[in-house]
Amino acid sequence: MVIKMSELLSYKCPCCDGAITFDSTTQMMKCPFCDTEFSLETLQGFDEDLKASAEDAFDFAASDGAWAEGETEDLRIYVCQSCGGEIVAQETTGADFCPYCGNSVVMKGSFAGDLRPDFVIPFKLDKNAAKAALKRHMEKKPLLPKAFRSENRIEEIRGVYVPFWVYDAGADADMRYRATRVRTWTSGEYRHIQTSYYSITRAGSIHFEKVPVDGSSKMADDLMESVEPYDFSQAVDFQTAYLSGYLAERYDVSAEDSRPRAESRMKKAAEDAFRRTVSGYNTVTSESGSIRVRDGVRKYVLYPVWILNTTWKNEKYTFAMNGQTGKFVGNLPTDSGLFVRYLLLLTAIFSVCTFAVQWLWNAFGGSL
Amino acid sequence: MRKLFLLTWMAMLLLLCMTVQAYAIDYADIEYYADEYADDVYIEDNSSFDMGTAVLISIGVGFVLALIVTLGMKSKMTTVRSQDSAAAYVRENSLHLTVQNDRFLYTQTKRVRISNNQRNK
Repeated sequence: MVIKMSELLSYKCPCCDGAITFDSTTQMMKCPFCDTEFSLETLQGFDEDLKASAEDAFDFAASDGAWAEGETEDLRIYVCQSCGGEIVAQETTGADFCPYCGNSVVMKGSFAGDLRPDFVIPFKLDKNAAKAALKRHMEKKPLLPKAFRSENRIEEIRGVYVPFWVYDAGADADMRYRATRVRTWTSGEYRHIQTSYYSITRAGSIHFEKVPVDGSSKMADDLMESVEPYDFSQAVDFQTAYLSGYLAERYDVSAEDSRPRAESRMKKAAEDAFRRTVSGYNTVTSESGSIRVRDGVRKYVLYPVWILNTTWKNEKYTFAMNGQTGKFVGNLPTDSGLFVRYLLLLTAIFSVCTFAVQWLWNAFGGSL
Repeated sequence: MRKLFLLTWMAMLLLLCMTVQAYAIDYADIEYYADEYADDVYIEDNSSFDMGTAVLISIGVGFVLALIVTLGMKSKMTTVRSQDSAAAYVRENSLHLTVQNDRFLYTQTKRVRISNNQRNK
């Protein structure tokens, strides 16, 4: 196999030559060996080359029949600058760790030229915060199997910079609704119900900022949408130094393919916003309408996400935490036995309470 | 938890026993009146509190309330959901209405006779 290797980027401490990583607490680069801290600005020079450089070229040629056809298409092999070990990574991997020496490495080619993100939101929360959030996530969940809570050992915690496309756009809407107002009154032995019908028209515009769409096919879209929103005001210009110490992916879903999802979310939000301007009626139903998204501008950004994986009863459970805000999500298993027990217990409690209310009502002659 | 469970179920059993007893008393009353006024059986019910109905209503209401609470507990186990709306990304004060028209079309009036029971309430 002929492998043309890409360059790796790893940041070394000028004091002790150890690998330095981004520290989410101090928001600086920190050497874990001698505790020296560096500002991001000092490392900016590393990135200047990336802006002009093109994506890496790779040339895999099958040999010896060791690799099946197409098997190596998505793989890239890098050589660790610290220990010389081979790092096999997927084509979309942007930052990883050397499996031999544990050094954090950034694949320069994944962020070169057009693949260079415009912005990055650096991690604000560390691994311990993710562990604590998982613990809190499992609290006050009476239907969670006790074994899951007690035996649960997180197999993997990964800080990942996930690629997102973010869209700014305006939306013009023309909406029509049918609404009713109901008035009732009693006269003699009759109750009168008067229903007034209205035709409602609303037109106008609304603007959206930084609507994100996950640009990685490896990340579950619903999981990534569940940890939203991110505060884009804390985004900074992209620098590879932020990736050091974390995993990173580059996009493999294009901006064009991601746009329909952003537009669909904008349309839904616009619909709801215009619907809320119709008030003072008993019923409002949407008759027709059109929403046109215009002036779309997109940016490519990396958002921080902590991914936690565990397996229980041969089923994989994935949790995610927003690395900026700490919002934690992840589906938990339900103990069906506990569900039935709680149902019976609560039925008994509520039944006794209902009976007591009825008995008291009767005892006081319905004058309670 | 286990103690509470037992306690509430004991209370439920007590309710059921009271229901059975209530029906037994009613049956005894029927027998008594039937013996005394063999030709004209008439049961006078001074109490509006029907134990059997009350227990059945209690269990029904209790089950529905318990189902609502437990399903609520179950829904908390699922936190991964697609976000169909971009409402969190609307620029502040960016909603501008250029047309805001509420046009009255017509009115329909229905007349419903009030039953005697409803009027008495």
